[in-house]
Amino acid sequence: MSDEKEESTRPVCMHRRDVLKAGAVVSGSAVIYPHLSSAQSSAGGVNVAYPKLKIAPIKGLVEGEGVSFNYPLNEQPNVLLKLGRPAQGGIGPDFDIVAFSVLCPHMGGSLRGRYQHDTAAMGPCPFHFSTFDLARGGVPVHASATQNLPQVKLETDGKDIFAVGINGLVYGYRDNLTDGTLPEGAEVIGEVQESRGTLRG
Amino acid sequence: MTKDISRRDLIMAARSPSIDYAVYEESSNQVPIPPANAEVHTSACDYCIVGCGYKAYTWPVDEAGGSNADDNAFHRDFPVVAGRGQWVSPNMHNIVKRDGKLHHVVVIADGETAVNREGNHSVRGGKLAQKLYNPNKPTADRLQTPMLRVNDSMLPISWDDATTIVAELSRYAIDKNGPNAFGMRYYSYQYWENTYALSKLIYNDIGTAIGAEHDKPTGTNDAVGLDDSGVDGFSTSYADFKEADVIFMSGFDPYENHTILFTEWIAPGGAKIIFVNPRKSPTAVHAERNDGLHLQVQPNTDTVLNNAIQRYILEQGWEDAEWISRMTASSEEILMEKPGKHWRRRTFGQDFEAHKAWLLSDDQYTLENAEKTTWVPKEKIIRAAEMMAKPRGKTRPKTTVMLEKGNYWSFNYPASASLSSLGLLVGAGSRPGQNMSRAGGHQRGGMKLKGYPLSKSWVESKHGKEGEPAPMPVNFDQYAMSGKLGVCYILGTTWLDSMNAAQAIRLKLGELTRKHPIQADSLVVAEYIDTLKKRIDAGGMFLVQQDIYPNTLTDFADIILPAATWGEADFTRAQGERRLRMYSRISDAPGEAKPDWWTIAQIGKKMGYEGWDFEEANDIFEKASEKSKGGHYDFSKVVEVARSQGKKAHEFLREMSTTGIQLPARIVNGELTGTLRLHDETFPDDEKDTAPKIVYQFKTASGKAIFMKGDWNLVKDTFEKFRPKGDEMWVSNGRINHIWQSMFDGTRQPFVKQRYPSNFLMINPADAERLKIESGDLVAVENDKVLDQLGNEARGVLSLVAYVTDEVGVGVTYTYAFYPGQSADNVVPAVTDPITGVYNYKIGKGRIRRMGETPLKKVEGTMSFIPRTVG
Repeated sequence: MSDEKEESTRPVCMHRRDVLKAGAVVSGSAVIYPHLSSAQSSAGGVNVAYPKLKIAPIKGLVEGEGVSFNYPLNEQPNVLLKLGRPAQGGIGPDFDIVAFSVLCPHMGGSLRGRYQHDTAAMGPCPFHFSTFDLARGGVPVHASATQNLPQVKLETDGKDIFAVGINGLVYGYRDNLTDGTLPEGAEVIGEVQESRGTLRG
Repeated sequence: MTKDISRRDLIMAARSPSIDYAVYEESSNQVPIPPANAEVHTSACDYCIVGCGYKAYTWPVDEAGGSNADDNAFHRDFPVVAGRGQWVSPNMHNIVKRDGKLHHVVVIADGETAVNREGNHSVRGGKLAQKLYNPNKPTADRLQTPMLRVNDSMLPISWDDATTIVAELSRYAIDKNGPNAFGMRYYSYQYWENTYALSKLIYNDIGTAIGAEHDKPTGTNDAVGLDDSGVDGFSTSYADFKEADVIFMSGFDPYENHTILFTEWIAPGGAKIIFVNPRKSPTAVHAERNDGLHLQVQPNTDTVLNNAIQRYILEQGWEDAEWISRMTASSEEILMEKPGKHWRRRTFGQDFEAHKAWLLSDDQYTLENAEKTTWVPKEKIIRAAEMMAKPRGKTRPKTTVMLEKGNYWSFNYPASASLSSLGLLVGAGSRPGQNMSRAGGHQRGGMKLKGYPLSKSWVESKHGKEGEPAPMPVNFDQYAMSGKLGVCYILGTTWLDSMNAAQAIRLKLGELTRKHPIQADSLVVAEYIDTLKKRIDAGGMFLVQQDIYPNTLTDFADIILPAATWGEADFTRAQGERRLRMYSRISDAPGEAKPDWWTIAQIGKKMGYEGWDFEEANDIFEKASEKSKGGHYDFSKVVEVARSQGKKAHEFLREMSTTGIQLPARIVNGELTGTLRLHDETFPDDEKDTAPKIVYQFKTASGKAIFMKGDWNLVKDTFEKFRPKGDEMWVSNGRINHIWQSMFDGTRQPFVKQRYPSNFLMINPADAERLKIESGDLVAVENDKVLDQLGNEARGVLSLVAYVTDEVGVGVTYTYAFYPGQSADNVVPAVTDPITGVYNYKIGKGRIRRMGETPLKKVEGTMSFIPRTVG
């Protein structure tokens, strides 16, 4: 998509570069890219900042009922769930509050509304049946996907739940922070180091 | 001393408490995409028979593609839209060397191919990029240089020394004890150039009768009963499955390991599925949710089920009488088959009337008796017969019948013969929507100069027609274990852990090799050879391993020959609808690894055989086309056309990209043309002069299909003897969708290892409760009497992680067949089929016992225990 096209439809579109150059308050999550080649990784990991986004208060969450939100970009839909069982990455008093992308990392089928509360499974995907275990980091139960369902990293101040990062590449993207717009209310935080790699377009 | 508190510590302290993630490294949040000028290499998947088309993009590490369609090699804007492919997940990217220089590589499903349209891919093929060698990744342990065991150390040696040692010891053993002193186990599938070379060496040049393909103890075919009926195992086109009303799947689980055949061709076609499998796998769930049927058969009783369905169809008069009278052989036509070579057809072949009379006279196949033997309720047997054969007004349902290893890896002959006869009964010949086919395992990568020499075997079946020979191939494992094999050459296949009585083979092999009293202590070639000659003379063995990774065999090997594989050299082969494609070189092979054809050629030359002057893979490909003429993989016209255009055949095929051409290749009106299906009664008359006869006839002497008698009596006593008794349970085994084969790649892929960090034992909740077993527990399987290949009985044991799930029924457990180091075959006796000599891999059993817990039981574990029936 061209910049002109983006301008016309996405008035607050941000490219990674813009995100990187945005505010420098307190450091947020640090994401290290482990897959760089030796030549690149010898130059050091690439730290990038994710926006911090308030999703919902802990209090109103109902077990098994999802809260939809977009993160880290406006075009990337996720669901917040209270599983009613401890989960990897789970927060809250029962370690059971998690959030995941609802785009199947196989071919982008929508998993919205496909959470099965009795097993904490997400799926099957309407496209090709991929199904994921939300209590165990989104590992596939069985799937054609070649990565886990991306899990949104959460934090809480005891009252509200915030999204602060994401574990895994969101379907369709080459970079979770590129080619989209930031959601309203997202606070860009982090002292960031511009990439020395060559992976940015 | 005050400790410095870093900013990172502060960040961590501010984070909310949570249960940590199981995967230590955080997943990738970005991936490089190829720039518009990236090099593109056509290929297809390395793994299952479906053979999806893939393209690899390589570009220098200091360049990058961008989000705009003009700035990347896919010519797509990013983010890409759902359902269209060409999204690159982090597992589709790697860093490799190409021509000695670091490159990015992305391997993605090709949306332009005829197989996996729109870029659909399986979990296995989707990760092909991870297969390519990268010393910073778990592929670092690739075999890279020839190595020799001296003083019990594996030491690097030169290729020249290595090929001299193998050639001279082979020559010595053959000259002294005859060709059968040399034996080879080899893959049947890993590319035409390689299988042509190895078949030339062992069957043409040496002439041994001691040969076996990767998944068998012998040199026989797979679904022998199907072959005997005259139906080629791969006679269909995938588009045919979309035309079917009903698909009967016997021991074939398409979601599990033919994923794209299922998600791209079978499920969207909407055919109702009759799924015959002891396990309620995701395909069974799909079948039941879509008006299909799951016949949860007791392991090994498919023969009775197939015959019971046939009998009920015959009782109702629902057989496809018109088609049968036109297309199946009479008793006179069956006797046109050659004695000896086709002894099974002459013994078990029968015309329709005889077949009908036999089934109606044998009460083992009544609904009531079949229910008792197979555990399938008679109502479901009736329903299956109705779905497959009951006329709907003036038309019949279009029924396709398929089988795979769940069928023919039980009692090979009666199971596959009863299945093929069921197919013929419902008119599943070869026409759109009405086919009979194997589903397949590996791709069709066997292009042999010469096949297994049955005429040289001394083994006879006792079930042949009186007064006629009934030759069977020699059991490789039995022969090797008996100490008669001087040189044992294992090429590209996991021998140990994949054959029945796996622990007995392992123990015996140790005695013959690494634990043999005669061991080498010199790297001087002549001295080494002298020592090993003495071992051979003393009844020991010289063990050659040619492979890409070390595996359980490496513990015993005397010499290692490193191989180059998929993506590292140019190769060709066909997939499950006979589609021939080019598998292009993408990256450099590690170290000194060489394509197998090259290694075999060096050894062939040094042994003094003629015709080994191949300089490149294309030379073998073009030579092999001569042998292919008239057969199902006839590609001679591809070579002819390439030559007429002044091109090498490999280059010409490369231009045909991921779609390639369906064989046999023909010239129609001056154009190179593929062939949709074999035995095709809709094949145009005016093209018959362009095609081998099998294109429009069945593969029999008369050209008509033959009803084969799949008789339960052949194996009933064996079944009774080996079935579980008392507190034993069935321990069945097979595939699962994340893992390919012996997990040689999956072991080196963290994404696979997190899902299945251990082999598992699926056990029904009712059995688990009785045995006080929970998911994540460590359990033992013990079978006190595992019959081995030499007729001895010994205990076989296995330990695994329990997976409590309704995927298996009461009394039946299920494991992955080939998990490295935890082989299901440890508890499977060496029971062979009395007609074909193929192992029964499904006849495992044992007592199950809880041993304790594994760390996987905790929520921090990576292995999901959600029953796979949820999806």
